[in-house]
Amino acid sequence: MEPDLTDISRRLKKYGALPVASPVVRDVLRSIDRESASFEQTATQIERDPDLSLQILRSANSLTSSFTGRVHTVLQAVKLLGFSTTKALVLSAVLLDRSKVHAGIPELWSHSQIVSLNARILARHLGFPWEEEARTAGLLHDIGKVFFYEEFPEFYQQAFQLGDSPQAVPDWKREREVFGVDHSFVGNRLIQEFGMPRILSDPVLFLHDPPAELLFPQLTQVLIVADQMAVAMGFGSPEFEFVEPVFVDALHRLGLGAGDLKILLAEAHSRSAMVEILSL
Amino acid sequence: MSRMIKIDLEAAPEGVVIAQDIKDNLGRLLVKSPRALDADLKRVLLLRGIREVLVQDNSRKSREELDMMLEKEKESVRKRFSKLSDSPEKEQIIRLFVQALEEYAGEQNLKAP
Repeated sequence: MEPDLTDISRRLKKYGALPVASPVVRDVLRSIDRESASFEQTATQIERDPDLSLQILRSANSLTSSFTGRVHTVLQAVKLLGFSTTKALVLSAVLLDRSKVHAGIPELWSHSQIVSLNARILARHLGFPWEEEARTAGLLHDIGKVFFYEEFPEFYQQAFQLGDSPQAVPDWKREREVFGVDHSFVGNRLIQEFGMPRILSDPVLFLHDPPAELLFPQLTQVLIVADQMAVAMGFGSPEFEFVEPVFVDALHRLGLGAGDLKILLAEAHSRSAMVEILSL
Repeated sequence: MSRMIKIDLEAAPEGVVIAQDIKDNLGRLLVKSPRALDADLKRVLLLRGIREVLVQDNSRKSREELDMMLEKEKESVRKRFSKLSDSPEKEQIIRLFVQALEEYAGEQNLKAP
């Protein structure tokens, strides 16, 4: 039976209630959500779980070390990443760990890390004040795909085989045709259910066909450019490995010309090497 | 023969081969080389305060191999833009991506043997 919107909604409701079995993860998320959250307390909570600590350290080194030098302690990592990126990493770690057996997950994680890196480079280049939000939104922008990969693996097995062929159709289009909604819609819902702010969930919703009026127009366009740059650099998703026309439009909207793109690409290439090395 | 490189243990991927015996501060042998790094061993070493390990670097490629990889990647870049309508702007963007790739590869090539 083909899944319909009611079925997707029912599955999503179950899925959104994260099975946070680890008390450490639960405590970390609670600690970050408190108004009085402190870096020290959050780091101490994370350090109770060696696997989570290693994951946070590895991600912090991938995402920040090319800007700041090596990160050696969890406290350093949390301070450098900020609360929202740390929370995004913890949530991603839980979701990705749960679904690591599914095809496409390692590629998705590499893609998300490169998009996060690109988004930060872009935000910094353009002088926008929300570098951390850009980085976090980059990490989370395809989180809806984890849901789809896990719930409908056969659908993606087919898509993976065609991903780089001339017949390939953008993932979001195929998802809308088959499921009625796409991974951006699901990602937006999940990010909201994780209690993260609209500055992170809204841009994710409009990544593939942004309407004329947007609540966070610049961050959305930054994310679009970051996403498509990652695809062009060879860090796309396995189900569709082509740059989409929305890329050129987003470059125009951000006022990015050839000179800007040259600078951004040079930086993105050198920094992405660090992510590749650490993701081996 | 592959050379040896020193890398941060926390960032070391599983499967790399530890190329030198690892001892703790008191000189006690923790790991006899050669030995492949796995998650458990990594955790134990980190808990023992080991921060860096010497591993075999099998990633070093010859200049010819790098040139071939670069040509292949340049073709892939063009292919990734193939779903965009043809226009001078598209060509310019592709050129920028290819140029960035060449420059980056050029820097890496200088380090190749």
